[in-house]
This record gives sequence, structure tokens and C-alpha cells, in this order.
Amino acid sequence: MKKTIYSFLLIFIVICLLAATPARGQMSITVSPLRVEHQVKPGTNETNVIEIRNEGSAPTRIAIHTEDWTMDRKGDVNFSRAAGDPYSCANWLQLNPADFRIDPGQVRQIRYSLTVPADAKEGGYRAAIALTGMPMAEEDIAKRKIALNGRIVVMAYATVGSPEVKAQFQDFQVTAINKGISVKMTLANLGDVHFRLKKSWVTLKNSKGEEVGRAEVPDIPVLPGAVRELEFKKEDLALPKGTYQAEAILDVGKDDFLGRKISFSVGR
Amino acid sequence: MRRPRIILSIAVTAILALGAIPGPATLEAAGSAGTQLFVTPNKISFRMGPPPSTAVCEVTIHVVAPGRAPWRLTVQALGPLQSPKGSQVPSSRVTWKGTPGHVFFDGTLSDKHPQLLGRGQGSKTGVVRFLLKNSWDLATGRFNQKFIFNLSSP
Repeated sequence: MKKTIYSFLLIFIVICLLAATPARGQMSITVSPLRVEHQVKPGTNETNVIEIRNEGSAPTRIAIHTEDWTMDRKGDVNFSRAAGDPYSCANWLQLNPADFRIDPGQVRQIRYSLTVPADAKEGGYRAAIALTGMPMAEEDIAKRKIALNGRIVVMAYATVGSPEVKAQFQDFQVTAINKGISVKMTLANLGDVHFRLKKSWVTLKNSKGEEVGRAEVPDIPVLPGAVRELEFKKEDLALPKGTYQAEAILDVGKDDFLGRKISFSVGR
Repeated sequence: MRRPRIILSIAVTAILALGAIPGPATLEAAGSAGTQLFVTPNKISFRMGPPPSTAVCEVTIHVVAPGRAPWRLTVQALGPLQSPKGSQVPSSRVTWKGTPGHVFFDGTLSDKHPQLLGRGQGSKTGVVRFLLKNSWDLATGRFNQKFIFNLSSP
């Protein structure tokens, strides 16, 4: 009788074990911060850290390297091998360690040094620090499987000196959509340093001048010499039929804000 | 003599079972500062039936991102799908469908350029179903390759 009870208990625990064992592998890493911005002078050196944590259930190999990157009008980012883009600071960066193992739950710090050449011209520079997570041993991946690797990219910006931000607000449109609005704006960067939309808003007012809604403008960069078209939506905003005024106030990091006003109609 | 052995095996099995249950640390980590990319499973295999069947592999993606900075997730294959016997399937034969559609988009894989798979602000979870439609011109067998999921926030 006792033997039967023990056998049942054993089978029950084995079932629990099978249920509790993760059936599928996973790749899960956390990186902080995702963006670093440095204000530097020619001929100087700065060291800082990026932290990475393995949130997965298995040891992971992390490989780190720098790349160049650029962005098109729509905001799509293109990464490429560090190869001397005039706005690149990829070659100014040194990373340590560049390849290591990280166990589940473990946190590792990656030091990076930014060495600014003495002859660096005043302006904004950028690079990408790519952290790729992959299984510890390639042979762990069966030959007939497709490995899914995760890569988190830390965007690094270095501003040499104090170049002037030259932002131009070229176009602003607001249209009513189902239960909300769609906002389009075009921004141009005429300077040598990137600018970023900090706390910026589009405020909506009705024909009486009363505020009826606000839309926060996403935190996006506009690169030197580039034009950027930004499109975003504000949903859950049911506006009655009528004419409205939309006012955009953009903080691009200068003393003065950029602003534009337009009128738009709902339900006509 | 038999009884201690049974008890020992039960104890060992119970310890293993308890060790395999994910602890609360995972939950705490999900809320910690930083940007997290979670992809599961970390390997897939297309089980090809006879043409014109379509093999499907489902992948769950979770992005945890603080703040209001928009993030972008792309995917790229490192080359064509390769069988151990040397035959290849162009990566462009692999398509995917992403849900929810306003965050994770549909697309076609490439080994030349990263393709946009998702875009959002804050934390989002989605499912991407990779599809490989079989046809008579495709080599048989199973294939290996690497797909890179790239998360960035410029």
C-alpha cells in the first residue's frame, strides 16, 4: 500500500517538474541606459558605463561593438560598419569588455571611453554601441534550427564645443481621425549638431479659445543637415463637430521655443 | 532498504522541481529601470509539409521601455536558410505577421537590410508568426540560420 502511495507521489512530482521546466528557451536582456549624450571638448577623455542584465533562464554570450548610424526623413535608422562617417564618433569609443558570458540574473557593467581627438571640429557626433545576446555555445543550437538573437543598441551622442542649434519648423498639419487627431510636422536641422524635441506639446483649442486637448510630441532627434517628417496620433479624443486651432510649441534646447498655429475642422 | 531509496528519489525530484519554478526575481526585474528585449523561443524550426503547405513558427516578443522615447524593432537574417546538405532557401521566402498590428507589423525577411518589425513607446508585447510557404522548387529538409532582432531608440 505504502509503495503505491510513494509511486503516485513520485509520478505527481515528476509531472510538476515537467510542468515547471521552461519548455522553450528565451533571450531576455535589459540594457541601461539606451542613450548616452556627452558634452565634450577636443583632446579630452570621458569614461562611463552601460549596464546589462540577463533576465533569461540560461547563460548568454554578449558581444559588443560600435557602428555608425544615420536616419532618414521618416525616422528609420540605418546602421552600418564604423567607416568614417563625418558625423561618426565610433572610432573615438573603446569598449571593455567586448565579449563575455552573463549568467541568469547577473548584471555586468561595460565601460566605454570616449577619446575626443585634439583636432575635432565643433559639432555633433554620434555612434551606436550594439550589444548582441546569443546562446553561449553555437553548438547548442541544433544544426537544423534557426537561432533568434536579440540586439539592443545604445545610441551615443557627443557634442564637441558649443555649436549653435539651428532648427527650422517647416510644416505643421493636423487632421481629425476617428476619435482623435493625426499630427504631421516637418523639421529641418540647418546646423552641425543634432537637436531633440524635449517636452513639447500640441494644444487644441475650440472656437471659444478653450483648451480641449493636448498631444505630447514624441522625443525624437533631428540629425545635422537632415530633414525629419514626424507623424503621430492622439487617440481617445472625441472632438465635437467644429473648427479648432492647434498650436505646436517645440522645445529644441534653445532659449526660444519653436511655434506654429493652424486651424482644422472636425466633421465637415 | 527500498524505502529510504524511494524517499531519497522523491526528495531529489522535489528539489529539482522547486528549482525549475521561476522565482519572483523575474517579476521584479521586469519592472526595473532599463530597456528590456525578451524573445521566446530563442530558436525555431520550420516543419515543412508537402507543397503548398505553409510552415509556421510563433515567437513572442516583449519590449519594456521607460519614458516617452519611441523605440524601433527590426529583424534581419544573416543569410539564406541553409540545410545541413548545403541547399538554400532565400530569406525573402520567409514572411511574418505581427500582432497587435499597430505595434508589430507584417513583413518579409531580408538578409540585406533590417526590416521594420515593430515600433512603439513604453512597454509592449506582441506575437510574430514567421511563415515559410513550401513549394516544389524548395529543397527539402530543415534549415539553420540566425535572425537578429534589433532594438533601438535614437
